[in-house]
Amino acid sequence: MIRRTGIRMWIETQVVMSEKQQWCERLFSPIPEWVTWLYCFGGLTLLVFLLQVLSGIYLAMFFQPSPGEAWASIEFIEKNIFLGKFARSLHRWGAFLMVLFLLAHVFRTLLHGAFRAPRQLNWLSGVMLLLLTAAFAVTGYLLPWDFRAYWAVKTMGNWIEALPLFSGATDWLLHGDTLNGIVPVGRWFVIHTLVLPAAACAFLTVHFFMVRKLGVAEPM
Amino acid sequence: MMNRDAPSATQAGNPGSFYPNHLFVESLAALAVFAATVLAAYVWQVPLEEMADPGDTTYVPRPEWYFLFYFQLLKYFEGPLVVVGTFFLPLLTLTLLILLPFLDTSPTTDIRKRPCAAALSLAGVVAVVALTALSVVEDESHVDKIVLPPITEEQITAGREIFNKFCMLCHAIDGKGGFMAPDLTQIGSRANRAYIERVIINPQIVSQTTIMSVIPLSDAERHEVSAFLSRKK
Repeated sequence: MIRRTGIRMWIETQVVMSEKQQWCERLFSPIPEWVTWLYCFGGLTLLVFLLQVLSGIYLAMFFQPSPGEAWASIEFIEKNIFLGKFARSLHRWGAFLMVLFLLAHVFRTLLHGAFRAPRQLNWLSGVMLLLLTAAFAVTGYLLPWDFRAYWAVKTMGNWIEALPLFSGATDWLLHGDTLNGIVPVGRWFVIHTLVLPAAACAFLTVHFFMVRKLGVAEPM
Repeated sequence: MMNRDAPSATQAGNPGSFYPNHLFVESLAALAVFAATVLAAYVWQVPLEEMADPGDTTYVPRPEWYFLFYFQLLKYFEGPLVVVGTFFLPLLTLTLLILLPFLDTSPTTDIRKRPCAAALSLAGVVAVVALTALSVVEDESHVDKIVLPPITEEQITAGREIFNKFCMLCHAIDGKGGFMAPDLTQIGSRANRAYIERVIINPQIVSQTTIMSVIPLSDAERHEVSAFLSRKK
C-alpha cells in the first residue's frame, strides 16, 4: 500500500498539471474561431502515419529482407496471407495520402506564416519530419526488389555519382560493401522499419509538444 | 491541442470549445480519410511488378507521383551540371526551409504584408505542381508520338518471322534464342508497344551503354515486330 502511494505521488510530481481538472479544462476550453478544417491536415497526417505503422507491422511479419527472397515473400504475402494484398495496398495508399496531407499541412503553414517566431522549433521539427517522410518513401520503394526498385536504386546511384567524392555509389547501393555482391535489401529494411520510425517518433514528440505549448498560429 | 496561453476563443468572440465542436470536425475528417484509404486499398489494389532483373534494360523507370517534379527537374541538368540538380538545389532548398523562420521576421501574419515570403512560398508550390504536370505530359506525348496501326494476326505472324531473323541471335523468347540480351518472353507486360518501337528505332534510350545496334527495318516491319512483342505477356 505504501509502495503504491509512493508510486502515485511520484507520478503526480512528474505530471505537473492537476490531472482530471486540467484535462477537462483543456477538453472544454474554447478554441479560436479561425481554427477551421484547414487545421486538420497535421492530424490527418498523423492518422495516416499510424495506419502506415499498423499495416507496416503486419507486412513486416512475413517479409523476408534478403536478396533472393524479398520479391518472393511479397508475392507470398499477396497470395497466401490473410488480407495480405489488401495490407500491401493499404500501405501504398497510406504512403500517397501521407505525402499529400503533409504537403497540404506545409502549404498551410507557409501561407499562414506559422513558421515564424516563436514557432521556430516547431517548424524545424516539421522540416525534419518532411525529410523523414521522403526517406520513408525512398526506402519503402526499394523493399519489394522489383523492376522499379532496382531502377530507382540505379538512378539514385547515378545521381550520387555525379558528386566528386561519390564515384562507385551505384555499386555500393546495389551490392553493399560485401564481396559476394549481396543486394542490401536488409539494410533498407532496417532503416525503413527501425531507424526512420524511431526518428519520426522523436521529432513528432517535439512537434506536438510545441503545438501544445504555443497553440495554433493565427491565420493571415 | 489548444493551450491555455494561446489566444482564447472568448477573446475572439467564439463560443465553440475543443469538445465537441473542433473534435467533431477532426473526427469527421479522420473517419472520412480512414474510410477513403481502406476503400481505395480494397478497390484499387496495387499490382506487384516483376522481380528485378539487372540484365533487362527494357524497363522504363518512373518514380511515384510525389517524386515526379524532381525527376523532371533533373532532366534539365546534363553532363557536369548534374551535380547542380542532385546536390546544390536540394541543399539550397533545405537551407531555405531551415532558415525561413529567421528570414521572415515580419511582425504581421497578414500574407499581403509579407510579399517576399508569399512570393517565395507560392513560387515553390507552383514550381512543384508545374514540374509534376510537365513530367506527366512529356511521358504521355512520348507514347503518342508514334502513330501505330491496329494489331492484326498477320502482323503478329510477320513480326515473329522478323524477330527470328534479326533479334533471336541475342534475345530469347519462350526459351529459344540467344542469351546475350534480355529474355523478351513477357516483354508485353513490362513495356507498351510505343516504347518497344522507340527502342527499336533508338536502342540507346534504354541505356547509353547498350551494345544493341539499330536494326534496318522499314516502318511496316517495325510495326510488325512491335505488334508481335507487345502480345508476349
